[in-house]
Amino acid sequence: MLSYATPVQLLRSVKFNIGLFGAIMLASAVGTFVPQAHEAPERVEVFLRAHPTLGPLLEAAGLLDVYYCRWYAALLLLMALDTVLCTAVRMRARAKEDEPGSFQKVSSEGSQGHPLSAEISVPVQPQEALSRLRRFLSLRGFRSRPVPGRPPDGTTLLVTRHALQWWGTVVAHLSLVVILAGAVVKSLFGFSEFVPVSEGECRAVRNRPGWSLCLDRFTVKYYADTGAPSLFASDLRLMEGGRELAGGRSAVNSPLAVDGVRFYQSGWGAGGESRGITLRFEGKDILLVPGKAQTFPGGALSISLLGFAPDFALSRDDRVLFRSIEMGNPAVRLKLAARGRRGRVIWLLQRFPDIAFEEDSAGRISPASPLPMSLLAVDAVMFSGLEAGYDPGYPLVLGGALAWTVGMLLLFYLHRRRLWISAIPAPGGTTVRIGAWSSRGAAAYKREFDNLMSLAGQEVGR
Amino acid sequence: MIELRLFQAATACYLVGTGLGFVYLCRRGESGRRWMFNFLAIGALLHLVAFGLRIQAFWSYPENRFYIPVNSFFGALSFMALALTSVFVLVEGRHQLGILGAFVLPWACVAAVGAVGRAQGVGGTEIHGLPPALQSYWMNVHPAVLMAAYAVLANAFGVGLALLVQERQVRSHRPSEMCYRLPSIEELDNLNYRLIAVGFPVLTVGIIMGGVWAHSAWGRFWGWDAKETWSLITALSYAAFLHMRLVANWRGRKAVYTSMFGFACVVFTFIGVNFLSGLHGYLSGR
Repeated sequence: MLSYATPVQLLRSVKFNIGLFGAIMLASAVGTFVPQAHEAPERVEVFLRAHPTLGPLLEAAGLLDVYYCRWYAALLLLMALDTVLCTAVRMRARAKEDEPGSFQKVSSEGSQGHPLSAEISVPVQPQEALSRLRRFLSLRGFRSRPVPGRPPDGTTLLVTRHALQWWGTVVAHLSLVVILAGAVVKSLFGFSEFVPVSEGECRAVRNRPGWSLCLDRFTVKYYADTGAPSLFASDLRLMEGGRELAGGRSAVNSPLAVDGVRFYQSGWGAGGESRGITLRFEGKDILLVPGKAQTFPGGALSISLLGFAPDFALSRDDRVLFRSIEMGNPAVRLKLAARGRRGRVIWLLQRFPDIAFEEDSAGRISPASPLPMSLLAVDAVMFSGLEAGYDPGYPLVLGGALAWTVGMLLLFYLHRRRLWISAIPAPGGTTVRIGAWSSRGAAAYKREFDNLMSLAGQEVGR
Repeated sequence: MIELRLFQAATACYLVGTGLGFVYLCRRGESGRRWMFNFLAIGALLHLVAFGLRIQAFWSYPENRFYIPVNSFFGALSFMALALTSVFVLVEGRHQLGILGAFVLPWACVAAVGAVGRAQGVGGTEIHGLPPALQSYWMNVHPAVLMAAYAVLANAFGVGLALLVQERQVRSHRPSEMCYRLPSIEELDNLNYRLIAVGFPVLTVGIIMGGVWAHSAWGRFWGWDAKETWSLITALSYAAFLHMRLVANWRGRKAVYTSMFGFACVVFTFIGVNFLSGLHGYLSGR
């Protein structure tokens, strides 16, 4: 059982922190296995129907919306508080590190395992011995300063190399708080909304009254071999009170940014409207536009465009199915009327020019006899799904992330060494006593320290 | 086809090198170690040529130009095997332990054999144009940095295994030849920590890079996608290890078990999560 004198001690304890880490990890992991309301509300509905007992229990515990529920936010907040507290305590302890008698303290407590120590005999007076040693260490990147007062262990010089390493801990820990603060700022002052807009239309941006987003042109390109999109982008204009505020292209990885609001290219599709189609009829290319029948020489045949399906498919009961809003299998619905005969409704498929279907008055589809025409292209009216996002917390998040990186570099890639040096008068000169501590632990530093002391013995001890 | 043949030959070299690593661990003599390095060097060379050929084919699509082909499962596993072997050679070259091959190289073999297995499947080594979301300079940095971190952490896992074996040997009353081959428990413990101290910052920086990319592509730094969440869990588990070691002074078996849990999270993040994640599901073939 945990028993701590003060809440501060409890928050600082390793057991508590590991428990907190574990709780965050466990809750986060659960959220990846069960559907989450923020991400896929429809899947949550399905899950609740499929699990009538477990589902409501998980929902009541907030596990179907883990990352946005209060207790999860409380865990993150607790982590932030804990981080600030631990860092503050560490900074206080750091101030005490340089107090007189600190080597004795390190020696007795062994904060990093077993501290290292050595003795060198120098045939000069203590002041001269210290001065020589200082020069020797200075050439090797150590910075030295005398210890004030009269330390009980006799230390007179404190020497440090890569002292910045200590700040790595502080910077890294506080950067986490800054990142969390950025997330809080976003949730309080930021917004994100989906703005679907068709070509040639404008749509209001709800979170920015007066703004409307107009889509002039949507461009989509496909890979020839797979048919997968290789590029999709929107040419946009942002209007405010009838005047153009900004304009430009928004593509994936390259959003349009206006006054801190960024318009991301999120999705796209074809709604079933077209500006026109191109048919090849008896060797000639014909442009057909909606609502205007095309009559052919002699008036024997007229063709009119009735509709368009971006992703044509057949249902089990032989009706046309609009499978998706992507241009997966574009098909057009045409009315063919020959002079003196009843008109026929047919479907032509762009990707399968040899196949045509005929639609009866009840809407049923059947294969049609070969026609002397094929569908070459569809100029579909596309709609673009844009995500309008405003995130005033992002600079904080980015700053925190950079600080974290710097902190990590300092903390783990710098090697801090501290040497406590005392010079004691001895017959024939001075005995210099050196104690050492390393941020990488005594074992990792031992070889380097022994080499350093051996060199010091040769150079200073002459 | 040549690329695949070269890659298969590289995998065979890795397997032989790993076998020699085990031979060196259990028998006297230095020749096993020397031959292990020779086979690894040949394997890595063949692997590099194969990867170079893949890059050449990948860049035949104008949209893919100057990106590294790690968007497919085969490409990612192949890159992983190369990263693992490279990090192993660096660690071994610096610490000259000799025995690490038996503990670390099996992971490189798992990745390489996995890639060969994937290559046998439908469309295994096929190259396609990158989807628009992946056409970003972050594509060269974010996955590569993360896989480098995974490779370092896999080496740490291997060192942890060696520590557990050595501890068992030391405790037993009749230690085998292996006991004299393996470094001391303290040395292994320290190396395990050092590797994690190198890998953890790289891992977190890789995650941050992903966040910056996500912000420019989707408009949010963090979205709680399964891959993002599991990478956070992985980072937290290694953070727990570092705290236990640095603050609570945990050493030996307890610390190794914690680091091994972290590596289990790495494996799940790299492989398992691809079947849970919608945004990072490229490796699952979605």
